[in-house]
Amino acid sequence: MTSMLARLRNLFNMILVVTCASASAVAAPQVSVRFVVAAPTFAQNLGAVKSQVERDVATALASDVTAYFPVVLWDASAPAQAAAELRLTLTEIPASPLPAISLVWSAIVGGQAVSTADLPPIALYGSFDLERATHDPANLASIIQQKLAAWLQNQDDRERLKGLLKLIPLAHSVEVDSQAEHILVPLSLAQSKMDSSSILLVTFDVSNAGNTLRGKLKMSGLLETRSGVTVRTCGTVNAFEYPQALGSNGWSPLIPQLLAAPSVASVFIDEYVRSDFDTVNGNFVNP
Amino acid sequence: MAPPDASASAAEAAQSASGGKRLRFRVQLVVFIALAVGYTIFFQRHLQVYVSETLLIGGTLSLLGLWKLIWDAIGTAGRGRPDDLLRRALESPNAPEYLAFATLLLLVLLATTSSIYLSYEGDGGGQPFTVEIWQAGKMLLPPQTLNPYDHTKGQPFFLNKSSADVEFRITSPTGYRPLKEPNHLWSAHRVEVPASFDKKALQLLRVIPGAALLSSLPDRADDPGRGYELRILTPAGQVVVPHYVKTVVYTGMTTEDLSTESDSDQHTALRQAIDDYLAGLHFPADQRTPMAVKLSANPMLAASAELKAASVVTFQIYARDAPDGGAAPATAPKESPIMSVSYTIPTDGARVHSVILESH
Repeated sequence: MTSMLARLRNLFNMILVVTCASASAVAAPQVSVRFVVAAPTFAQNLGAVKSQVERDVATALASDVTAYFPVVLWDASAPAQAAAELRLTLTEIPASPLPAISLVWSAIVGGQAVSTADLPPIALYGSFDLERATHDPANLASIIQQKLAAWLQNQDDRERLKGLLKLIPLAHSVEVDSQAEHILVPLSLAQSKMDSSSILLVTFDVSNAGNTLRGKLKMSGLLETRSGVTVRTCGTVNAFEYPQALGSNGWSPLIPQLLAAPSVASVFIDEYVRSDFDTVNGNFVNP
Repeated sequence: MAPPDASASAAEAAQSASGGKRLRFRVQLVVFIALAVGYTIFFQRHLQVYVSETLLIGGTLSLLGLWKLIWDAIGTAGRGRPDDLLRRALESPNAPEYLAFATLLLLVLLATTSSIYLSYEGDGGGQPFTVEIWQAGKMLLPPQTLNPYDHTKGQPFFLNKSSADVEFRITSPTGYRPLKEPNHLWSAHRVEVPASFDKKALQLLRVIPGAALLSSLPDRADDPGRGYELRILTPAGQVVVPHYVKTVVYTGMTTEDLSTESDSDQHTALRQAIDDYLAGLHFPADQRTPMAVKLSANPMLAASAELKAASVVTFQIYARDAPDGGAAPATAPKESPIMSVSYTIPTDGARVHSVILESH
């Protein structure tokens, strides 16, 4: 009898743990990763296997980017209505004696195309490269994956990709702890593998006498907090801007007032520092 | 003592008999000479290879007969000399029978014996030649290989029954037209190899994909995705290469000639032609050299009718898209060619021509 009760207690505890874990998980924004073969020589010659190459490269790219920027959910099979889309296009660039073939970046955030001018094309074949994997999907996918892996290993190129990351909203609500002078956002540092030294940017729109004014504040000193099953990230304000107020490098009494009013707030990455700690189920294993 | 009339009559009879005997000797001597000449001709025509002294022996016999005939005409010719074997033989009672047999045999041999002999003559460049001899769809002899040191090759054919034309074909090296000779039961064919044969004016076309095609064609026929078909339009008809891949295509002649001529086309020269073309487009050496090696490694042969200088040849390339969902190239090409290149074979005497397939 005692044994049976002990077993039931264990089962209850397990259910509780699983429920808490899933309830506390804050969904990271989903970014659709696409690879498109647009260069006519490749699109025509690959024929029916083109879509396979596109899937393979997109999956590999999503995996590679996730390794560096797990703050968002990079997904090659994400639906079209994802928060953002990162698109890589195999493009033909007119040149002599042969057209050059490059991988060109483009991105869509919130349904709007955003500039990727900071992301230079990645050269795949120069105009003097005779051998091109126009009929070899496996080889083409492999070559592109190698190029992308090498590109991502470069610190400067990663910094360029961070520029795109800064455009993707991680959350759409904030709370203010006036007493502690903290800002709380519904994010999990562990799930995002975000180091506490990262900086978040909060933008908020406030309606004022028929006008919409946009304010900004930056959060640093990030810390994950748990309240029941709710996981949030809190941070201190280290910069505050609002059109009808003087800017400050810290907390402002206006902040609770502005954020308490009906407003549209979005949380972005301002500086992402990847946590080196491993996580399991959204929790740091060895913080 | 006999009466004078009787003795005169006997003398006349003896003289008459002697005259008849002499006439018969002369006739048989003429027949003998004719036979000697006839057999000499026969041996000379058909068996010279085996009995090369026939002219010497036959000629000597003929001259001996003539000599005898002359001396007989002026009244000697060994008359009265018992050791004259020829006279004794021809005057023997069996002589007409033997002469008749020899005549009959000679006539049969001359009428039904043919021979074929090949000799190495002309500008053969010192290389061996292999000749096949055909008559009415059958090979008369095993292929005969002639080397510069061979005197003659061939054999007589006794008691012939067929008078169909005989065709001589040089099968190696290629580039020679077949030689057809009318044949009789008694023909003696003397063929000089290669001097008796007409050399073909072959035009070998090396079809090299241009740069755009090089970056587009598949490496192998079974590569997935789009396939390509090459059609070669010649004045004599169309040749189709259904699976056109990244390689050199040889064309311009029949299968037999093409295999030999493309083999003899030096790879160095072909590679140089490819390299020159790519260098003209400023491709660096590290791109040119591997491509030249690759293209020349496994050339395709597209046999066609024999092309001549000044012929216009059109090369058309058709795309063959794979069926929906399939990886293998489709069988039906698209209706319009994606590229069409016309080439006029120069009349400058060159035999090997490089044709670059590229849009201008």
